[in-house]
Amino acid sequence: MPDPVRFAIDARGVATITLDRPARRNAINLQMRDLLWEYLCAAADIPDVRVILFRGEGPCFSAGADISEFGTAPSIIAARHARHDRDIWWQLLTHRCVTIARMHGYCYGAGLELPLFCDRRIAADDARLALPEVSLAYIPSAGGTQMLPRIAPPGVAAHMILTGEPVGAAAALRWGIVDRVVPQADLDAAVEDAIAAALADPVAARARRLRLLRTADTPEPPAPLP
Amino acid sequence: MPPLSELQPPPPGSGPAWLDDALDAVPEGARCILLPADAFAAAPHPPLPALRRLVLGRLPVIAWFEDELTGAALDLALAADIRVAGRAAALRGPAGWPARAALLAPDLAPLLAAGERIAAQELYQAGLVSAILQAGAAETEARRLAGVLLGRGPIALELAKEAIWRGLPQPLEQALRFETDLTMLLQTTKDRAEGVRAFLEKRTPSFTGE
Repeated sequence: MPDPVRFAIDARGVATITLDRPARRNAINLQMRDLLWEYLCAAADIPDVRVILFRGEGPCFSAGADISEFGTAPSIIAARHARHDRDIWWQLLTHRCVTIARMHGYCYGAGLELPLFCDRRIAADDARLALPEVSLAYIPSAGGTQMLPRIAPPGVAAHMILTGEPVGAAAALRWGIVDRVVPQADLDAAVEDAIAAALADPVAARARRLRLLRTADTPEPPAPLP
Repeated sequence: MPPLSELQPPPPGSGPAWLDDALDAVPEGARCILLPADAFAAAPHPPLPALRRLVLGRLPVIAWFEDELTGAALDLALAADIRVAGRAAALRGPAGWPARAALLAPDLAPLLAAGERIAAQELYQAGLVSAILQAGAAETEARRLAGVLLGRGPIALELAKEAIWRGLPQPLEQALRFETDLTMLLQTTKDRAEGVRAFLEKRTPSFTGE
């Protein structure tokens, strides 16, 4: 069975990480989380890689976490350790590469949270964005409660997080949740534009993420707290 | 106990403690506060600690308005989690809690501080209101949203609200760990188990607040 996350590097130094589980709407399971961690480490270690592109195979980017695996950790402390030991969200925030998300169709739960950690979010006009965790008596657990209010107006973020209701691509653009919206047929071209801009001026592409971290653009990622 | 609690304007002659009194009187079983902001035009300015109770309290607050809000009505609307407005609505500063206005809409805060009128469409563009309706329809939308919230897990709503407003002032790394710990806490609840079960069984969950 092929891996549910694919990793490829092209001659320009663009690493493409593809969520490839379309039969499950690219729901992110534990195996995929581990693969994301490994591929992000690999991208950091390969000097030629300068840009990371996230994309989803099939009709959507990702419908979120794989709920069938919820509650399978042996204990809450084990779940907390797993979360911190392979913290792909902090890894994304501090990654030396420019990160770009290609968003289409459902971008729900972790399928929105992952792009929120990226430097650029390019969406097709069919994208639907939501943090629906409260409908399961849960809250966003991959950074959504902290990233969305720092990216979108906090009142909009509160509306989305508390109701769990989706917004369309146009609303997401209005409130800065995505950077560009194009017709679906033009999505790849728009992503190529973003890649070209990132390769030409990576400092500018990373600037917003580093402002969130309140740090300067240096080759070294900021050290986590001790 | 009614799960939806509607905040009522204070009677004429009330003192500044009216908001604390109103919040103290919210029934124990309430799960959401509805705030008809237009009705508070003549209310005395609530003190900052009382407004902070709205922001940092356990219950989500939805404010709706159709008219121009100033004074206490403006401050109450800004303290809500969610604001919906009719097309003819507006806000006119100054706000009694400038830091809250600056947090919610940094570009509009100076205009409010200068006493300017900001129309609904501009509020919507800036995300200071998250839904804009035909004139006269804001209450209907607010009640629909309240119905949505009443269908959610109450503990999850409480912790989501806490994550947003108590997380925002924190450094990002600390805030992300804060979120993780809140999610771990939620894993101990019956409601979260019911939410997952209901999803997998493709049925509507039944949350008890446990």
